[in-house]
Amino acid sequence: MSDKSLKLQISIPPVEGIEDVPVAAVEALASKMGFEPNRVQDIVQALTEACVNAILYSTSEMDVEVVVTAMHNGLILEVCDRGSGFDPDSIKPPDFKLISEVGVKNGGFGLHMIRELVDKVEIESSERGTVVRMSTFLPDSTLSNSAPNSTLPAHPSDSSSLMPQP
Amino acid sequence: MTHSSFLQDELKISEQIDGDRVILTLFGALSVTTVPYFRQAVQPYLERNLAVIVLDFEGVTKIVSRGVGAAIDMAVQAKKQGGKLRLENVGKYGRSLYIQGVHLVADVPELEGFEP
Repeated sequence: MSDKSLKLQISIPPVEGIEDVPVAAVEALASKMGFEPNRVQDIVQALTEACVNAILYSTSEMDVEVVVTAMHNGLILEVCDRGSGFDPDSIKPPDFKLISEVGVKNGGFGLHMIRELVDKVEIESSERGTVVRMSTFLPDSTLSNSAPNSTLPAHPSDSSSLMPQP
Repeated sequence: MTHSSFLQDELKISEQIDGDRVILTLFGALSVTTVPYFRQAVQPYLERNLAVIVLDFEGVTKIVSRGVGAAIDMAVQAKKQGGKLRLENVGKYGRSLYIQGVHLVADVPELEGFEP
């Protein structure tokens, strides 16, 4: 047994409803890691949103990759798709005053929701695909019961290797 | 994106009418697949100008932002017609609903510690 990080990779075809499979795995993992039930639900919800977006905007039959890195002090989820990409900066925060008056009409606020639910979100997107990286940290109280040898790195993985290859 | 018959999310809605109030209990997933049905199923009640439309989330197994968006649209429409939408038994989905601002247009159980 060691305190080394644990990495899981689940490939899912871009099929509606299949996101339940990696989400169930991550829910079990987050619970085992000691996240509070509310935080587990936040993680589940964020991953669901990211997977649904990846599946919805897939432009080919190529798999969506869900990469899960569990560390002693947190959990990093990466959802990598082969869609046509988007400019993350073009997604503005919702205007709640306007929404209260006219509603949403179409779509939701998946990205806004993800940003609110996890501690850190990084998005890399190009015409080759998109990687959404979501990090959630365990509270300090849990940390004190764990091995304090390593900390969650700012960039836990080599993102270039995760970006879909042409 | 493709579809698979055995992976398809399902949503069922049961109704209980009590005067000018209806309780719609949701069972299943409020997902991209089921949101069109969700909108279609609730619309007739919105058009009846009921005083209160209750959406009971007790049986909801999954929710995505599009589903929350649909609930917001319903609440806005109900409000414009002088009625209101109330969400009950939202349980673990409370934070997701608040994050999307449902509480601004609908009656939603108070969420302790929510900071917008």
